[in-house]
Amino acid sequence: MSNIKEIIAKSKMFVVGGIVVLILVLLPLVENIGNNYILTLLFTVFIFVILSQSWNLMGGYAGQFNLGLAAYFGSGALSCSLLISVGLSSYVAILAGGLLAAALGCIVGIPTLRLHGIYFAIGTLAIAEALRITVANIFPGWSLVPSTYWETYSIIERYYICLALVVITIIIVYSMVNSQVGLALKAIRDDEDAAKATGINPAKYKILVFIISSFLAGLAGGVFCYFRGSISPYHQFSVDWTFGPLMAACIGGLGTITGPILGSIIFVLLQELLSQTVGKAYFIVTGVLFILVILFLPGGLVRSRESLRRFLAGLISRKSESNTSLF
Amino acid sequence: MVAQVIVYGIIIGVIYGLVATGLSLLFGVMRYMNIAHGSFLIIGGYISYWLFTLWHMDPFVSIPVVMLAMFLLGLIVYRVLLSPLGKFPEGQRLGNSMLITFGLILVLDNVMCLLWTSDVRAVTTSYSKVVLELLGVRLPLISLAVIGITLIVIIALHLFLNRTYFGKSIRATAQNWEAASLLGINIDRTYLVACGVSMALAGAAGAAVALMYSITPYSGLQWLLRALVVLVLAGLGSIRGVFLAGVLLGVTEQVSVFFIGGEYRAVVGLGIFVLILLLKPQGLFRQ
Repeated sequence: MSNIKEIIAKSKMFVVGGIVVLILVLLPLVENIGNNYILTLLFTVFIFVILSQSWNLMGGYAGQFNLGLAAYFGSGALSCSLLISVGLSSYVAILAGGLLAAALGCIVGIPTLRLHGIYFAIGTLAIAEALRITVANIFPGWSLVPSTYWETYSIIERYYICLALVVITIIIVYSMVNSQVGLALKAIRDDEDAAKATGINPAKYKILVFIISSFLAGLAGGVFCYFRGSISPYHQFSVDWTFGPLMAACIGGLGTITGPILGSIIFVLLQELLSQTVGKAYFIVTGVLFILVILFLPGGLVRSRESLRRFLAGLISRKSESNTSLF
Repeated sequence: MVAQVIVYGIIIGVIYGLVATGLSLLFGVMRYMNIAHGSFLIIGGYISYWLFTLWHMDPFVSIPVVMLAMFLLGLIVYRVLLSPLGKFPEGQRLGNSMLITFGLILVLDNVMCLLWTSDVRAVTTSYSKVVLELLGVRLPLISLAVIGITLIVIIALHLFLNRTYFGKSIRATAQNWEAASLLGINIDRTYLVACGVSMALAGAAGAAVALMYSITPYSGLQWLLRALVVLVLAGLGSIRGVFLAGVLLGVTEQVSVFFIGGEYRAVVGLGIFVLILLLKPQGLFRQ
């Protein structure tokens, strides 16, 4: 019975996902909507979806808080822009950006993944900051692509590429999470020693996921560079690119596929709405929202129904028992 | 010349040690990581700055005021943000404390920016430029005074933790909170005071930073990174090694500035830090 239910739920999800993708594909064809503003906004959402899925893979499924995501995003963007200015085709450059970020992830991951918990978080943050300072010293200012780039600029083409990458990212994450790898990751997240005892090699799985996660972040960086045409290494390596996707993933719901998507949409729309109305104060609003979600909706908005039910159940039981408080 | 470099390294290292002590206290006692420690340091710096600018209060005189204000802020932060973390299962508390204080960085930094603009501020007193010379080594007067103040603060902290009943209860809670609570120690109140003391230390460090360097609403993260480096060098949760580790980091940074150049100052520190993490994750000064 539960099997059938699961299949129905799954096919429902596929249908909904397919409809959403179809709408997004058809959107630029509509005359009035196909303008730059909405497409740029959607593009930002897409970049956030890729990045927050990438962070979610490490943080949500494998339980490793990677605070260095910006380094892989930035290196993807930087290498893509350098390769385009050398004269390489843009698609190859985007892919190369992803691969270079994956290589960087491999180099960084092998030593740092030996660290546990908070040490891993601090270590990745430190490496990302060191990289940012080094890169900003080597490539000061803005890195521009050649002027021929702008002659053939088409926002709709870039929109479709980014949409395709989002779909690919979600498929990769979905198929990974629903395979043996996903089970191993969840086992590692919940109890690494127990996972080891059942014959899982945590080091192998963690490095695999770290490389895939940095590959996705690098792709996002590449397509970001392709869309914008110019990047500033200092800004693309900045911690904002780690913390934004992290917040989007946490607000939506860690360890789920839909969570980071929902979180990214909310995060970007909120940023857009608030920055037009209250200006700089939108950081304060998003910060407060983030804290509230962590404190009162553990598991994010996706699991808010569950949290609410537990909260109500807690209220009722507290009334009936009036127990001494656990602190 | 080399002696001069080392002396500057020691001076900045003492500040690093002071910044990291508050962070280490909080982590050691509560197992919470306060990512917003750097932002609290900047708040302390601003309090010192405004006391000096508006009321002409000498920055050294105002340090107790700053520390008291930050202590009270720490109590509020604990009550509002950190004590609700107790409801989470023990494995999730550390991660959630990092996430919450990270959200706090966004809030604090931007509130400071709105209130006081993003201008670079520094406390410049009439005696800021006074420099003593000893055996050819230049010693700025304020940095000597800051080192003195830091020593007093640290000795006071040491006495508080080792000699007073409350300090002992903090240490007992740090070792094993369940056992401590069985012995009748009020864990919640202990955490409350520890959080306040940690913030007060951040405030003292902020006053020193505003006096010797400068502050902007967004420079908290740089100080946090330094403090994290020092913390890991010393071994997480150990308060004793923090000072030595701070001085070590300061001297290494200054020496590297001397040889490689200023722009890579932070990279050298972070590089050493990653090496230490990989080779000796339990910290350098831990038995």
